[in-house]
Amino acid sequence: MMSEALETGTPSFMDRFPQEAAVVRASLISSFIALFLGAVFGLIQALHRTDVFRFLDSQYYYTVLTAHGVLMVVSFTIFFLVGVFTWATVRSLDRPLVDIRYTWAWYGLMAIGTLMAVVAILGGFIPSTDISADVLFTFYAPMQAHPLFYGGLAIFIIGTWLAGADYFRAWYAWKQEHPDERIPLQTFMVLTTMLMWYIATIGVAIAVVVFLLPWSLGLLDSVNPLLTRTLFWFWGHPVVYFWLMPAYLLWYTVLPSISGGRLFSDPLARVVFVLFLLLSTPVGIHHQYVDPGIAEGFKMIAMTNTMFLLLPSLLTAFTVVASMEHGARQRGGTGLFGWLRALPWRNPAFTGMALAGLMFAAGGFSGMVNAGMNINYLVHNTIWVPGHFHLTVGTAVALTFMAATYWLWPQVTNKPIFSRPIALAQVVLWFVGMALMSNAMHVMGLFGVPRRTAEPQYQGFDFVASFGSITELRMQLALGGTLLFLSTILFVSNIALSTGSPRMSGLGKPLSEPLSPAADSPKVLDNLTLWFGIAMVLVVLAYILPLASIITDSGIVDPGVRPVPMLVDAANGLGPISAVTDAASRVVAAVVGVVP
Amino acid sequence: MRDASPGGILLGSAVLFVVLWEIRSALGLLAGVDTNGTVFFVGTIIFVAFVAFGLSVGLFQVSAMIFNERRS
Ligand code: HEM
Ligand SMILES: [Cu+2]
Repeated sequence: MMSEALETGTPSFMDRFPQEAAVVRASLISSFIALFLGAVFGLIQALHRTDVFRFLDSQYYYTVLTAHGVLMVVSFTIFFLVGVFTWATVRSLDRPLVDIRYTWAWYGLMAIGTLMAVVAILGGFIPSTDISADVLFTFYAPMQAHPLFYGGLAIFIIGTWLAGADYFRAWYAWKQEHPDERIPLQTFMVLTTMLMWYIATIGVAIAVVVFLLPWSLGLLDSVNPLLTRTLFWFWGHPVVYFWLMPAYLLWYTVLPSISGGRLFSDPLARVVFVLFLLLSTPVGIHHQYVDPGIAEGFKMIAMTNTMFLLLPSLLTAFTVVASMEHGARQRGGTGLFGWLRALPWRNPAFTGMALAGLMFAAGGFSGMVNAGMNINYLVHNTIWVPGHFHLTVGTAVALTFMAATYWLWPQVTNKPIFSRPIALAQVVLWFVGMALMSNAMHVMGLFGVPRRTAEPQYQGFDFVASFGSITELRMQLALGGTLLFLSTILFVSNIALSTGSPRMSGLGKPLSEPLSPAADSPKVLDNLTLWFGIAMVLVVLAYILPLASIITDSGIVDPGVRPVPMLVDAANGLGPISAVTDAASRVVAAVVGVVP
Repeated sequence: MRDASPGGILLGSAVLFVVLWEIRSALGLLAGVDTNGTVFFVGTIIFVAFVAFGLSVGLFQVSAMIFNERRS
């Protein structure tokens, strides 16, 4: 074992809150099962689309890709999130949840919803059944899935809503006992994130429950693909912050302690989470820059909002690095850069999170390319885009989660990690594998190679590489994907083997207090109602006109969109006010038609 | 005298490999210089292996040279 003593003598989370620890364990295990299965599908498609090894017919590619996408970005990330949030809320409020049966109920709903969706997806491999959901994780109409898929998604989301309510209940109970105290930082982060989630999921809930589910049940003849897409992306951008916020929570509140120091500033951390609550949602249209039927002006607004969103991430980069430096100097590090050596690089939890942060910086840069309306055209729907988000959700989030597990797992199981050297090798392997895979994806994307394609060579068509060759890049992608798969195996088996470690007591790791404490921040930061209200107003401002003009131009459930207008509607003789009233009257008419 | 731990060498080699290998893409995309892929790859591996070996046997003490200080 490494030099740091394993037992600190502090009671662990499991010692103090055994019932909550069981929920955290269940959530994390569900998350890791999804990660493992997702990695299997990831490897299959990485080898398939590069033509290194194909054992499935290309017709199944979308089944594989849907399974990979849904398992990774819905199941793996969100199960981990509820695990971490449950831990963080209970730990920072220092009190148990109000009713553990309620807690198991939302976990159960999430598990059932996931199973339904996964069964529907895997049905795609068995042509003799009529169950399938080859619709990718974006489930754009007119691609249609079996109702089981949409139903599962809906149940899963209801589960997350109830989870959020659980955290609010715990906070409310705590507030009765501590009337004049500031919300503890971790709880503050959990609550603001869940508020953002409540706003964001309005979009996907309407898309799924009002349109896609009834349509796949045969109750609706058609849906308006542009409308359901827009509602999807209303949720689809904020969801990326939903993945990211637990990673930020860990960077802000755990990483400084692991580095041996203290968080630089509690108030700054609160500001960052408030900014994400405000700005995450009114930007979704930046995923629809090439969608016909949405005026350019609205896309321009989404782009501007997106650029503002850079601010909280830059603030985070500053605070996290400053806290790490503080930790290193506490450990005796000196010099302009010499302090870097004093960081605990042998600790896999630290190294994993630091590498994740490093890759996030790279992902941020390619994200800015995606966000620019004009350069987006260059990379849109090319494999550059998966190259980008494997750095963000696929590494900044995924690697942080894995690294944090090495720190958190012993505290919710009272068993040390099976092997810390293997854990260190695992995070380093992920870094190398992802550098290769993501680099190849970015470069191929610039050469025009499409994403979501089983045979991107397009029979008889050659892409032109401006340097090297497409073959070389394909090999690089396949090699990177293979290393990532191996890294996942190392992670999952290390955790699985840890169940055989001897049970110990006193594995708790206390978290240090911020240098600038909560008392330094203005009270208004803790006014969640205010921020929620402003966030709602911003969302309404950003979405009312685009949604109104979509409904006015192409109806609520009418298929087909005219490829115009590409200008702000007012220029087409349609005033914003009349657009909204017209759309509203259509919605009213539709509702009245359904509810006689 | 050894200056680097096995964990540090592993991590350092990984980062060095990634940095060197990304240079090839940067050269190709930004400067329009096409390097030979195989040679670049093998060269990168050899260089990284050399650095890792050198550090592990104490041939050089990079950190001490660059930062001009030693961890007590
Ligand atoms: C085991 C490591 C992984 C490998 C080998 C891998 C491989 C791939 C490949 C090759 C694609 C592109 C397929 C295509 O567009 O044709 C892809 C897509 C994707 N990956 Fe991964 N990936 C891995 C891990 C992850 C992780 C950790 C996440 C997120 C947490 C993730 C999320 C996604 C998503 C959302 C897509 C897009 C699916 C779609 O286009 O519908 N992947 N992956
Ligand atoms: Cu986005």
